[in-house]
Amino acid sequence: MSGNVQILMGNHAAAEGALAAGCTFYAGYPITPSSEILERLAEKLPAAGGAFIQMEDELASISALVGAAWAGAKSMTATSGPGLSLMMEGLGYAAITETPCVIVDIQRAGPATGQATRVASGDIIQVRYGSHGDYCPIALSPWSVQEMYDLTIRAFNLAERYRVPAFVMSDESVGHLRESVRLHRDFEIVERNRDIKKPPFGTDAPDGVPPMPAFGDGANLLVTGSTHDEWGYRRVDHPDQHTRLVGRINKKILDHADDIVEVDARFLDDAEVAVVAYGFTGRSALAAVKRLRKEGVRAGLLRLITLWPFPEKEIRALDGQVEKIVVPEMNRGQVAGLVRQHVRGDVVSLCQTNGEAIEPVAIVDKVQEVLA
Amino acid sequence: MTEWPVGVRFGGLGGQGLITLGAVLAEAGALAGLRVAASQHYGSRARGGATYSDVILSAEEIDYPHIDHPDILVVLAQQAYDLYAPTLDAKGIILADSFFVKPPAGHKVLQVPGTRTAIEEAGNQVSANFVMLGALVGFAGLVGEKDAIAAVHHLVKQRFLEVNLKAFALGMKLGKSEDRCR
Repeated sequence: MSGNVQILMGNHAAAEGALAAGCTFYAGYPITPSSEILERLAEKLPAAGGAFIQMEDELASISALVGAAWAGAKSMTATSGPGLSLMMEGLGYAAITETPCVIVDIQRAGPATGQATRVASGDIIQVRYGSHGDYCPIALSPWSVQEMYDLTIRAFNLAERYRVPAFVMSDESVGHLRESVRLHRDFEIVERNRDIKKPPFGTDAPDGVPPMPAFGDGANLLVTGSTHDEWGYRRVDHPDQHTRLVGRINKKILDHADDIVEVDARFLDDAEVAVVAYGFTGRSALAAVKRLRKEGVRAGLLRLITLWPFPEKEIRALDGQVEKIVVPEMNRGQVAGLVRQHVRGDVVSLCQTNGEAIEPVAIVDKVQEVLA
Repeated sequence: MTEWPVGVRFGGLGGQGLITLGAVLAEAGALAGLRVAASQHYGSRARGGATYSDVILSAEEIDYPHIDHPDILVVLAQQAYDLYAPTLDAKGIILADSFFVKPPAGHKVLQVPGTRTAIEEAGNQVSANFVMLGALVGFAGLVGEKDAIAAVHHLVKQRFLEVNLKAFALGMKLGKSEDRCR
């Protein structure tokens, strides 16, 4: 064990994770409940040799991330629902140009302005499908201040490894939680392959991830949001080029689900009912499962640390093993719907959209109702 | 000996420094070797509106970091008293700032002259929250005085440090001698 232990707010831990992962560029616009990330990096990033820019809005913020990444930076922003909605166009641009960047989303109650200071997890589907066309971002979901640190680091590494936008899908309750966190350095840092001799937008390599030189490295770089060939030349009327490009930017993620997907399974071995949860609701679910066990109910928890690519294999493994699946979430059943696509058994959705966290007692009651 | 876990809720109005108190108590608890979790519940207004911050102090890992029923409620405004007193655990205790909170007859409440002490003795009304924190630590223990003071030093801005340390010390005295809390 190494690294100092501090009591930090989740948002501050995400900022520390960014610094530890080698973030060199932050562009963002303040928005509740994410602003503490921006505040801390405004103070600390320039001192660490990076650049911080407060942009005029979130459309500009995500575009700045793409530009900075192509100048060789590891770039990041943080936002919440209304800002995330503005970023959808730029997200697609980052996806088709295969630009690594990290977006921390501290989810709040929506749609629209909603309740700025209240918790929700309503953006899960949006980050996967909110920009037009087919793409596949990576999304991780922390449940503690420690994971705000650890998963922000992992998001940077996965973004670099796969040349893809990576999300830290947190929420107000985790973002504003204060707990102890170990700011350790027990991890590897992934640096991008900047080979200038190979095409930057196509590869026969099995991982499907081409090298990404920066402007100034000596490559003749063309970066466009239009369909392009492996050297970046626009090919807007070639069916094969489009098929190949869109296929590869999705396959490079989906084919590596085993490397990217992480789940946390507890008490599942003999479980008759599984609670599938993520983010702050995972904490409620763990407390609920422990209470149920004390009452003699064989309940287990499958916590989804990775949300995208969706942990299909891990969900399918529950089918036949447990009789019922309960999915508590602070939205109208976004992940419950995904779970249903992968199991034949009963999936019961516990939805709460009142701006409050789901308390353990609500999950205990729902499980008992389902088993009755 | 304190029976862990203990859940403390600081209730009041936005701007009274409740989230700061939560952060200070959590850090003091961590310095004492406890597991801690501090959370907050607030509105979008910079000032006003009922607000609370919660702290769990525990000897063991904290699964769920929010509090359903606080063991101790420290309350700095009538509106917050009305909202949060009913959430109190059956065996819970309340410390109320007597300047702003008038508990209904029959309610068992430790009335602390937080705001009055802040104005008359500490010299600044904004330090009333730290008088209340001092009273909590003086009355209930939970964390050591040295750890609390270290946390104040770490988390309070330099220009408010002196007045808040003074307010905390005055609150400690009040909390230790219950009969002065009327």
